[in-house]
Amino acid sequence: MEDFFSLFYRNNLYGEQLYYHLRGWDDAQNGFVAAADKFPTIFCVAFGTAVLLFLAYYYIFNHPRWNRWYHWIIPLLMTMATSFILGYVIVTTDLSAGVIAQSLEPYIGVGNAIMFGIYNAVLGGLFFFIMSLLLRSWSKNCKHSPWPLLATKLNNKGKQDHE
Amino acid sequence: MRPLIPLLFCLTACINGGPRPTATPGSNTATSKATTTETYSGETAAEAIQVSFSEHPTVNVYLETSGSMNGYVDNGRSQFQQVVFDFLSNIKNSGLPSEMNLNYITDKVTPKESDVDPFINSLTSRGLLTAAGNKATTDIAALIADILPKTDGSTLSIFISDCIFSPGSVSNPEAYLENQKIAIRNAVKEYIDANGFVGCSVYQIYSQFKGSYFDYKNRRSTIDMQRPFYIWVFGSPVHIATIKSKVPDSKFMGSPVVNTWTIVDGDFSEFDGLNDYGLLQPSPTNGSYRWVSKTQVSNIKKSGEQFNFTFGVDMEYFLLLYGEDYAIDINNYKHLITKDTGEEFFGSFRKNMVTASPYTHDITVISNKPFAKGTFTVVFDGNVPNWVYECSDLDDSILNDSNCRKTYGFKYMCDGIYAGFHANNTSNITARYDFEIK
Repeated sequence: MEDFFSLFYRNNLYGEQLYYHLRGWDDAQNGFVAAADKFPTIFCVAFGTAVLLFLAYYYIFNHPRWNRWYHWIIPLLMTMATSFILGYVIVTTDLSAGVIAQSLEPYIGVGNAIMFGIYNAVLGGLFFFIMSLLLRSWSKNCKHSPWPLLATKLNNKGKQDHE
Repeated sequence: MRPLIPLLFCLTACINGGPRPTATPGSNTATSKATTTETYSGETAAEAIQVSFSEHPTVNVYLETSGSMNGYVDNGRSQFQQVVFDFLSNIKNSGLPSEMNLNYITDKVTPKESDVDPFINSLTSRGLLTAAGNKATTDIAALIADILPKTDGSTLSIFISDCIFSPGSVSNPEAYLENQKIAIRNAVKEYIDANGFVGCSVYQIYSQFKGSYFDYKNRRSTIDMQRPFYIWVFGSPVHIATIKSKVPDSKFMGSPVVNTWTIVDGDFSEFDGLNDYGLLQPSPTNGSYRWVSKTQVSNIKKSGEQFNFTFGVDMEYFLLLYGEDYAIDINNYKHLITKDTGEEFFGSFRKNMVTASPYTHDITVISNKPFAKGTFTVVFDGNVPNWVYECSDLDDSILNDSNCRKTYGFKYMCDGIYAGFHANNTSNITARYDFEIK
């Protein structure tokens, strides 16, 4: 299962050694320790935040005056900010606590933490964006945010043509 | 540095406790009070190798007392006598031997009393000449052929000699040496065939030599200079490792060990815990690749000008048995192509500085072209070390500063032993590191 979560983070955008650290690398075992794998937590928080803010915007708050694209940006940015802070804080906390494996430590710094935060923010934002595309049509007031549904667009176009 | 005794215990326990799960249940043979005998299987049941050793072996010491040894002895005052006295005393006091039998050897074995002190220190050049046996020539191959059949898992043999071949009046000394090499190879092969999981180790030490020197044509001259002599240990690798552990090379008294060489018949990969290795994570120094598992690697990319990946190895036992220079000499490692053939291996060693790492050294495998997908196996199959060739001479009629530390024909002895361990041009793999490149 841990491979599922790490699948979303397997890239070289924020440093290969940081990826190994977050996956739970242990020098003593020359392998990964499942208990030290941080990707399930990071993924669940990023995804969970996206789900919560999606539900909050489209189905809980669901206000007719908050259905413009610039209103939709707010929960998107909140999702991204939460994911960024989470990723950045986890890495910098490990850096300052000195819990990173000795073989990885020289290759991990604040720069990697920032890059990982940005990557996690983009990932969280992507989750929110995808849910916005797929699951907003049942929202009463915000289903046309950030842009009208394709079905509504086609319907309107058909009406114009008819007129 | 972890204590070494547990490692020896580990090897002992591994053999006592049997092999990895490939072992055939119920294949163990007899177990007596003092001797532990186990069978472990190789790749197939047909390749099963008998491993037999006792915890406290009988140690038989053979001190060559041919005429050429006269300059090494001086009533206990020579470096030779100090070294041998110290070495044998340490072994005796180490608790390893159940008993120690001391013998002089020429063309016949003369048993002596079991007290080390008079055995070695009472020797004078004159006393040497009065000892039994032929003093004029040394048939090294015959000595080896005499000693090895008396060596097995419960008997360790120590042979102390200047190891100078004595062709005497033969017309073609090189042919004589070649024949000696073949005879030594045959003796070693029989020794391996009869026992399995055996080894031998040699120490080269210098001592002041003052007396009559007999060159390869048996011409006598009087010299007073540093000359090498050799202590050979034949027996189970467990016993050799115990000696190396309890009598470290660096602790020899009288004169330091100049060079050593150990060769072992048996794959340590068969024993859990003695050959731990694993792929390390990529880094600028380790290479650019993806760590899949300890033995699986993928996406090996060019790192600089070459493709490489790095794995860690626990070499504690290797370092003990072979010495660091030999154990980390990359020339002793090969890339295995088929079961018995290897090709030159390009790589580099460095010490593993990661405190928590289970490995002592890192080996970086280097290739100029991309690695082919499939199995990639690196094996340890040691060569005869260079010092043997540097210390070997083919003409000792005039000894001076340039060749006084060389031994006539010594490389033929080592080549013969090496050939015995590689009989029929087979490999002698002591450790293997298997990887799957995806």
